[in-house]
Amino acid sequence: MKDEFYYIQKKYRKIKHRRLTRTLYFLFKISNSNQVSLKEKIKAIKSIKRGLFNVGKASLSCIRICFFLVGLFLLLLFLETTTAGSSAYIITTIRLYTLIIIMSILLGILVGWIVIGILAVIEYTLKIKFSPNKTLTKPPASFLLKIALLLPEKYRKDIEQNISDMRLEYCEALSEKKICRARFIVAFYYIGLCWSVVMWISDKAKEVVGLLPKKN
Amino acid sequence: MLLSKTEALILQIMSENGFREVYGLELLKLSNGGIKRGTIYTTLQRMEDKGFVVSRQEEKPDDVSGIPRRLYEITGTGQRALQAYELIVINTVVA
Repeated sequence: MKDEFYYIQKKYRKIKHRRLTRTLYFLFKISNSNQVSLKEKIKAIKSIKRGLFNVGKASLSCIRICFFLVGLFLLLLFLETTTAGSSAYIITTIRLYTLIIIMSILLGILVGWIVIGILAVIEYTLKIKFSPNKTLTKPPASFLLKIALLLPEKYRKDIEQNISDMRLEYCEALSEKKICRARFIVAFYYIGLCWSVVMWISDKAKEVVGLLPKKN
Repeated sequence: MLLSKTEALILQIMSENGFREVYGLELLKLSNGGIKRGTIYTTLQRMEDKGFVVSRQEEKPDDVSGIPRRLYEITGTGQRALQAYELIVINTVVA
């Protein structure tokens, strides 16, 4: 299978979007095979991601060129059929086409991000599900823990304890192979942390009003 | 000193468990959904400021990694506050 993969890789080298074609074919071939390693599967998904990005870029260029040509054609048609002095209409047309081009670019970027995001999630899930050593590469809320170091001790303690509990429950769920539950736990804890922030603000407000004793 | 419903529930759980040291997640599980995730540590911090509970960091073995847990224990003030709260609740129900 590995030799076949490299053969396909060699064969499709000269095709423009070879990466996408190659990896799609590769994925089709391995879909029913358990002999292919996880590393290769992830490599294939990464290649698809890059391939889709290339396809996205190409289609965006096509859309932009189409808009430009249609706009140019309409502009020429307009200049031929109308008399001089109606510059306001020309400006309006130019503005409209500029807007359409910008919108198409933004839409392309948005769709690209969504597709790449979905593929990243699939890749991450595959990594967790088929990883032989079952070691977490990055525990949840690692970034939040780094940010918490910048906060005052009172708030930092709260966040650290919450993250500690979250990780404990997360690992419990993962050890029972309940991946969805693990993700829900992370989401619940993030909501809980938002609620904590609300409580901190309310405590501060109570301190100001005088309902709670002031702390040094 | 004012005692909220959640604070009273936490003190109640602590007293029902023989006044031993408990950690946040344990309290959460013992409350059977009475306390929400995320709010527990803020409430415990508030109670610590009021003097109802005391906390200390758990000593963990060298081979165990991760964030150390905090253990919470009810104080004498906490016990008296709980007794007063229960008296008020009983009187309100009887009346």
